[in-house]
Amino acid sequence: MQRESAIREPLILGNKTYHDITEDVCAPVEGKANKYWYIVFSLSVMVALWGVGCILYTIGRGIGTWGLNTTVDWAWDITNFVWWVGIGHAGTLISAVLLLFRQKWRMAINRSAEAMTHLRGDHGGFVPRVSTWDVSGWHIGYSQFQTSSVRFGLTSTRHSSGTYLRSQLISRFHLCSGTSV
Amino acid sequence: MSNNKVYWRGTEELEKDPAFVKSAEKEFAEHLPIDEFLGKKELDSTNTSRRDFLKFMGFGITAATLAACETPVVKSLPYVVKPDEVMPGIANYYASTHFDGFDFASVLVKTREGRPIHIEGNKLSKTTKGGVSARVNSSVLSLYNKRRFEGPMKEGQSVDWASVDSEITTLLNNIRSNGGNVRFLSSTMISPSSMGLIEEFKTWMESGNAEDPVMTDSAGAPVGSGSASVKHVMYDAVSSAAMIEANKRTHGIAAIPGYDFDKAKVIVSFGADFLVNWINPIGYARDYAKGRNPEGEMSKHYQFESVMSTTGSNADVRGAIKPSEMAAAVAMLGNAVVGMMGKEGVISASLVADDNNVEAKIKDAASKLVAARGKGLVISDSNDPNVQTIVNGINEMLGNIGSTIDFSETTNLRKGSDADVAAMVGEMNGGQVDLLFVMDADPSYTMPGAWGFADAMAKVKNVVSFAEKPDFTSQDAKYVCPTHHYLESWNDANPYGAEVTFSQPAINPINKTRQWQDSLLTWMGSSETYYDILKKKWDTNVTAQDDPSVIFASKWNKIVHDGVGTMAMPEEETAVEPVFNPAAVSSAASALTKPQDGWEVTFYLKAGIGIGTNADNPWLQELPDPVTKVVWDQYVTMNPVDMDPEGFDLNTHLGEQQRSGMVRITVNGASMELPVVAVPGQKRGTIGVALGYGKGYEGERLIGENAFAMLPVANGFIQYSAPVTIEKIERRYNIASTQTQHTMMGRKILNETTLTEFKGNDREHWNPLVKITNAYGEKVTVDKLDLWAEHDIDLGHRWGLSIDLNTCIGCGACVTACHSENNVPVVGKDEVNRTRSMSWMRIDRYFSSDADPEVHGDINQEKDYHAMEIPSAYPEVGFMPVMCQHCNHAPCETVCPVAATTHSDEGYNQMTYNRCIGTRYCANNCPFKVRRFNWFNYVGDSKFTDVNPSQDNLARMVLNPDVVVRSRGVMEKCSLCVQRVQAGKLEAKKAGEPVRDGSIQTACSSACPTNAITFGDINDKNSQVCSQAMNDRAYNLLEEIGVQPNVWYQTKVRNTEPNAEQTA
Repeated sequence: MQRESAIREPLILGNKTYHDITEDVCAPVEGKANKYWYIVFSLSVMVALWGVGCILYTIGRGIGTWGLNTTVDWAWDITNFVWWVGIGHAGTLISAVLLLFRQKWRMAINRSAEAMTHLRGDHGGFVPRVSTWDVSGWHIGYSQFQTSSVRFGLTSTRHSSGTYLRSQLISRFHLCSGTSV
Repeated sequence: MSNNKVYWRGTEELEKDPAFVKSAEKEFAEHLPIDEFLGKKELDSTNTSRRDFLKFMGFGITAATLAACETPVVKSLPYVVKPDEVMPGIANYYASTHFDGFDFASVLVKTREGRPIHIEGNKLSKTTKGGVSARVNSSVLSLYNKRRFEGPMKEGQSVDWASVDSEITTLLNNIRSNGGNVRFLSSTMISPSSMGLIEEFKTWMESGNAEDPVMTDSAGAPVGSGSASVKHVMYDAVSSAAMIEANKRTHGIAAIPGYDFDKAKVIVSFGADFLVNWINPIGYARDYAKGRNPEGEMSKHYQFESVMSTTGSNADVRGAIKPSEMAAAVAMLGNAVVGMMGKEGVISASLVADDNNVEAKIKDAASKLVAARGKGLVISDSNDPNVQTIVNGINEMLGNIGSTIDFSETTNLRKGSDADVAAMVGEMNGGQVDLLFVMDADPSYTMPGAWGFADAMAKVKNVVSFAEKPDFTSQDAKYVCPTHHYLESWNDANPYGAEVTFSQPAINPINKTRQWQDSLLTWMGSSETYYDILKKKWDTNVTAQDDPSVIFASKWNKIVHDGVGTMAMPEEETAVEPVFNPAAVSSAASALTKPQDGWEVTFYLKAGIGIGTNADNPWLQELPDPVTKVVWDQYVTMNPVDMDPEGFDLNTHLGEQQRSGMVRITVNGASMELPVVAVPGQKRGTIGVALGYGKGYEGERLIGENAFAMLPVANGFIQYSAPVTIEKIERRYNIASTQTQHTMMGRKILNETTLTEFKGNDREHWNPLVKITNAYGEKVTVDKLDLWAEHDIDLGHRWGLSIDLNTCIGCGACVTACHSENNVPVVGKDEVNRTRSMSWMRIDRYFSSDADPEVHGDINQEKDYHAMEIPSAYPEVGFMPVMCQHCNHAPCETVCPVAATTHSDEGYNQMTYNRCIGTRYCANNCPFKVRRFNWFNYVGDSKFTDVNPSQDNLARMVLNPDVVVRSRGVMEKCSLCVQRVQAGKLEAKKAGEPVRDGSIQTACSSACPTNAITFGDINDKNSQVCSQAMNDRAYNLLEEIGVQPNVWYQTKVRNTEPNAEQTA
């Protein structure tokens, strides 16, 4: 049964053709970036470089640079990690909810949500390494041999972040290969 | 315009074609050509195949990883000819003697492969009885001090010994020919051989020059100025000259007697910090602790002082007095004793501002002293001979002389005479001194500014300093002939009575230094060395401790091995009997000084820094002060009540974000600007300033200022207190303290009781077992409720510690011993301020007082935690050493993701540093907060270059090779000195017998001067630690959380009357 939309005010004025709309939408991406774009972009780059610098400084000197101490052993690092876990959850949740409710318009939002989750996946692998000084990732293989590893703590943190990353990769792969999720 | 259009993508959609409807659900309507893309022929013809790509990537990753690896270069040289006694991996112990003019201790030096690495007490010594202090066991680090002179200097330029020797020899021969005054200035010298050598030098100088004889008259006597005069003057930076003077007046003996603190049942100390700083604190502390056993007859200790000293904080009854009230307080005690003994001779005395019942406390002390006649002890650190004379009078009246005070065996540790030094400075100022030798002393630094030593020294033509390292005197001396560190020297010492102790070199000289005795001998043209002199003297002159096993060895070998011997005393010296002179007391009574109004300052000594000889020792700077817990700084101590908004309006609570206020203090025109630290117990209206600062460095920062320069001189005696003016200045200063929380928040942490309570009731009253409610609502002891499976702890060894809070005096000797034994890094003030101190042991200090309902509310009803933080003006103090508790149900072990911290079969909670990946779960889960994380690379990071000795190639030699130096990102904590236990077990195995109780000691238990820390096997039912852990005074820290520690604490018992409210 075909249901027709109620008659409403037109959403697009000015007698635009589909082509015009496509051109309008693509213009900021395809066209030459303007002055504001460069300002905002360079700010972002600076923030990113600042972040890279901080990470390198941390790796160079130690996590004492984070202002932790003997009774407050986790402060910045756990806050940071939980923040990104939250982001990861949010991305996955948004994605999942939209998918489950069969929202046809979800694609654009999904892209952002999944980007967040991707970043979080990278981060999930990175933060425990920086915060424990194990940049080589040596602990990941190591703890498998320890009897006590199936406990709370870092292991589960790693599993959780790893699971996000893997499930996201799988879903991407499925999408890329055209399989419906 | 209404819109009724329908939009469709194609006719299929418009017509609802079933195939379309199905495909519309897909996100990608068209088939994605992935397979087609990968199957393209062109891909095969590209230059980079997939295989190459993987190769490049693999190589890149491997190369980047390898580039990040660096093989550490370890330089080691083998022995070409191995000395017989050196076995790599096995420590050798050599007996030696530490005496730097202030701190005496007979010690054992632990050496590994020729390097001294640790100092322990020598149990054979009757003077120090096997104890050490923080300053003594830290002295091993000063051996490797890079600031030490590397060779002789002349006018600030390095020269070689030959040229210095020839110049000084010429100089000496000139003086011998033409006359002149030669003076030796040293701190108290207790070496009989050194004193003999100076005598010999004097004879040699005064006999004239044979090659260039003095002009003589017809009768053969020297004429004109042609005779040399040599004199040796001794002085003490913290003078006891008044005691010596008073003893001469009252008993005819110009010396300091021996004190028996173990025999004393009532100890009354006026200001004397005898547990940490006064004369022979190590020996006194050991004896004092013997008398503090509540199961036996416990002594009662009264302390009257103005600064809260370490000794005062251990007192049963403490009265806070102004320094100028000292004489009056002593007189009041005298009056009370006189009155109670029905004798005559009352001195008029009163206090000006008694705000803590001092008068009643003095009367109480007097009644206890009279009751324990002959078993009491009254002492004072006053440098006023009149006060000391009254003290002697009280002791004489009570019959303490001859029982607790022994004039037959006198102490040589303080012999300095203020009058002699003042006279010599006068001579120097008059230009009469031609040559001045300075050894074991830094007079330009430690003398009162009023004497103007530095100016006087400028008028002396030739000054020869024998300093080990640059100091205030050596920088102005013409010649510096650096002497050895004591661990590089041969020497002897006669600290007390007939005891003689020996120093032997434990390492070859590190720098081109020469022991000053050998320098003198060289200049005298002698062919002997100082070693020859010592050997000749003692091979015949000493009775070694009786031991039939050394029949074939010479006496010399025996005494050098033991480090102690007994001197054959000359007959005439032992014959002097003390004869009391009552007239001295009455004349002193009339000359007593009166208390004054106005602010006063007391110059006191700190447990770590002392007189500042080793103020550049980072272990000592990082040792928290027992009472304030402040590190790396000098400050003004002030009662928090005086710091409130009505008073000076200063910040009383210190923390990283809470900087302390500063004041400018002015004494006799000299002023200093210092931060203020709140010290409850400091007499109101007085402040305290520590001596010994202005000498040490933290990096480029000079720590504090020299307070010695402010000391006033009264009637020829240096005084350690003065009237002061204080003004608040607007600057603020960061003070680093290791303890910023001072309350137990109503929990049973430091458990204490009173002696009456302890004797009269069973343990339920004063040390109840902790009970919690189980699921059925029953109260059960905490060990009945268990979440974890039990470890097999009943088999084999189970190592544990017992810490007696009754005898712990809080001195900190264990803390520095732990630093030395376990290579604990020094992190500096800034890091301590961020609460990142790395000490494996801390000594928590708690103030306690009876709750004041007005201030604190009813603490039993509702727990007002904020109110609990408000200290009383004059609280009691308790010390509690806390290290890893080695829990049998350790919360840290269950959370470690990599099993880096595990439980050993022998009861330890052990760390495997190699496994640790630094998650810090364990530290978060530790209820005692004893785990320490390596936040930085303390052995490499530039922030710690100036503070952590492990960064200096020379100072690294102090590291214990049995203990790994932890790297960045690793958790560490007390290991119960597992390396020592392992060594002890191997010894026992070699001997083929079980480990004897007491044969293994941890660094802390061995260092403790009061034996408060006992280490041993809990499973050995006959061990001392087991009997202590099982007795009624024992309890575990935070027992209620059920972690079952292997460290027990013994309830502190104060010898005070029970408080009515507490018993109710």
